[in-house]
Amino acid sequence: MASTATATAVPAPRLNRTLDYRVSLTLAVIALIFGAYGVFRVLVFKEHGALTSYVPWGLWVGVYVFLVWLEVGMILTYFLLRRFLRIEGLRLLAPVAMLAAISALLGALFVIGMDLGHPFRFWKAYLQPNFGSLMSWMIWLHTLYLGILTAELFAYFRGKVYVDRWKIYLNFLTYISIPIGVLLIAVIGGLFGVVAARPFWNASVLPLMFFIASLVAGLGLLTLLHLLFSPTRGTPQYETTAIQMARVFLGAIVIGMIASLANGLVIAYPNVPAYAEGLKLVLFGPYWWTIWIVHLGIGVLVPLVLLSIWRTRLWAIGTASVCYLVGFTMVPVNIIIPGLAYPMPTMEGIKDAFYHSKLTFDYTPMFMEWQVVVFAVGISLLVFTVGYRYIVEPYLREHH
Amino acid sequence: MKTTATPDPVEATGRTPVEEAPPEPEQAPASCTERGCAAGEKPMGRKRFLAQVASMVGLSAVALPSLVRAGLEAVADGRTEESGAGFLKDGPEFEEDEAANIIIRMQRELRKAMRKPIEQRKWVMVIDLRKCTGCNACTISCIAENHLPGGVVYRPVMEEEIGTYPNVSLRSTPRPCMQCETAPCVPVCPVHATWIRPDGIIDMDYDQCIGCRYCMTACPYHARTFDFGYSYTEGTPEPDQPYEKVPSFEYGKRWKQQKGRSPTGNVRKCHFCTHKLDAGMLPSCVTSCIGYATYFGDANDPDSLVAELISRGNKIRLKEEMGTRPRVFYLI
Ligand code: SF4
Ligand code: SF4
Repeated sequence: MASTATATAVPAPRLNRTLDYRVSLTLAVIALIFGAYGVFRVLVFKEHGALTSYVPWGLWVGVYVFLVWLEVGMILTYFLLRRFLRIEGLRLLAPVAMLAAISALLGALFVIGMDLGHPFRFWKAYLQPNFGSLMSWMIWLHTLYLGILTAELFAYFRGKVYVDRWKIYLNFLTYISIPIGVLLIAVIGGLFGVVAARPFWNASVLPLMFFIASLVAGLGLLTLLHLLFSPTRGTPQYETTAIQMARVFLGAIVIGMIASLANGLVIAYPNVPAYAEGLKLVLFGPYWWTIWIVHLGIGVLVPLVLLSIWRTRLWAIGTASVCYLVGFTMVPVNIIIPGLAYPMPTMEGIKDAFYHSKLTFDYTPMFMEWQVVVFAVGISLLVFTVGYRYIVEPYLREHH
Repeated sequence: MKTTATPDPVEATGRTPVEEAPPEPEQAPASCTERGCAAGEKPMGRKRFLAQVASMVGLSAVALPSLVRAGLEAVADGRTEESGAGFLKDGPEFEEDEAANIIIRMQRELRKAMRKPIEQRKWVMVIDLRKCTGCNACTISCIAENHLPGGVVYRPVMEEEIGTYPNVSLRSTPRPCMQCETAPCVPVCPVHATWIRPDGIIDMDYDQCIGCRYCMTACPYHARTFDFGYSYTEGTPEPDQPYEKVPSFEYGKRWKQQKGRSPTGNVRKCHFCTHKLDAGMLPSCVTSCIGYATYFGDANDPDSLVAELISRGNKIRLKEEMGTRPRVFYLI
């Protein structure tokens, strides 16, 4: 993302030393080693975990959606905060946000690649695409987005953001990355929303809901990145920026809650089984605790309390953003799996029509599925750690 | 082919001549259900039951060798029809009484349809729910025909209990792929791996499919299953028996069941046995149905059995409200 303000507007930043490169690298390697066997089982034994023919998408697709929300949401909120709220203290965070977005994107692409029955045929989506399918749009927009972010980050790496010719070019990339990001989120929401066969997805305004979710989740991550990696750390601007972000974050959580509540009520009120069944599964199904305890408890209530009472305390802002991110991990999974985990209206008999462990509506992610997810997180962490060390730090050192 | 004037096989009641031979069974007593009869009623006696079983076994013993012999002779004559369009010229001729058989009539209509250009055919399946006994013969014959691995099923039979005790009944609904006219599974495929053929069958290219499973989520009938590469003997002392490695001939190609290679890792579905149609044969589920409950043919042929059946008022289609316009009709 191009910086348009002058470098003198910000006090000389103290370079961020809190990131312990070695600790982070070690964590990434541990994650990769832990997840490697799961990936091996997918690639060599061609296993697909607990997925079944009736619940064909599960944890991996959920994690993919979550990472995409983070990646796009963070870039969008960065742009909105800088452009409309003029939060100057975020200016130097641009390469960090971009690097985090690329890291999340690579993790997302990896986990969704593992979900394919033939992962090595992914090239067909590029060379023989069906643009009538939202999935093709998703793949192409993802690639475009990755290209734009990489080009921007490369410019930071080469320290070219302050050369006028590059500045124009980077501003152009920044501006086109915004509509592409919005389109990408809408397309992913639409990918589920257009499936008329799945009333729970079809009844929710998923493109819009995904957009709101992405903004809130992205804001949570951006706040956390600011607290951990902002080069303004130690200056008064650091704290002011954090408090400003916390206010916006609180508002965004409330808006997100109102939108979800409205959506839920529209589905639940008529109590038509086809539509309400998915919602019932979310609220009272076997994984009720993921929504009530993890999402609403840890992810919403705790941040609301922290940000309302201790709104100026950095520890409270940091804890609130961590809690929100942890609580939010369960949201996409709670949209995708309940939409699939019950027979479609008038087809209830299919449940017992033919017995096989892969012809069932019961789905609980297997250990190897979690391993693949940890591996994807390891990839993201590794890219972020190495990128921070070799791209972001030199950039900050050179310019400040 | 000798064409003979055949009597209308479908009476106004929607019943086929196959049913005409035995007299209409007596109405079951009101207190009898599929699960049995209440005390005091007189169901079939043990003696009568044993006599019927004995006569069926005897009949099979007599008929089976002649059927096998006929089959072997056909092979010796080179009259087998696996070779594609050969049946068009040299198909066997049917005697008049044979033509009264519903299967033979459908077979003849199928061959007639196969002589037309593909875009002039409109394949339709009709399933008479009043006749389906829920025996799953079609499910199994489909698995055998297409060498389906564990966890893949093209034609399960859904069982539904209707009513509350003591007024209960059981309805069995076979569910093949509906070959929808406006198939929601087709436009969602990101790589054009599934499409509608000119004759209406939803085709698949296993080598093109990336296994994203989007089409599975889009199908309102749960008609697509994923080939996870399971074998029936997995976990047994002798896994991967040779019979599990026999290739299937779906879509006119040889598909070996092998991990990492198509059709493993792909989405699979019923295709009305296109490979059999090309050889002038009826789909397996049609010929294996013990209750003659499944009919198949070209709805564009006004004289065909299916065209007659779907013009009746007692036909329904599943989830009609979705506008998918299935090519599978049910008679109720
Ligand atoms: S029944 Fe399902 S798989 Fe078959 S054509 Fe219709 S939507 Fe496609
Ligand atoms: S699973 Fe195969 S056929 Fe189905 S949408 Fe994906 S690529 Fe197309």
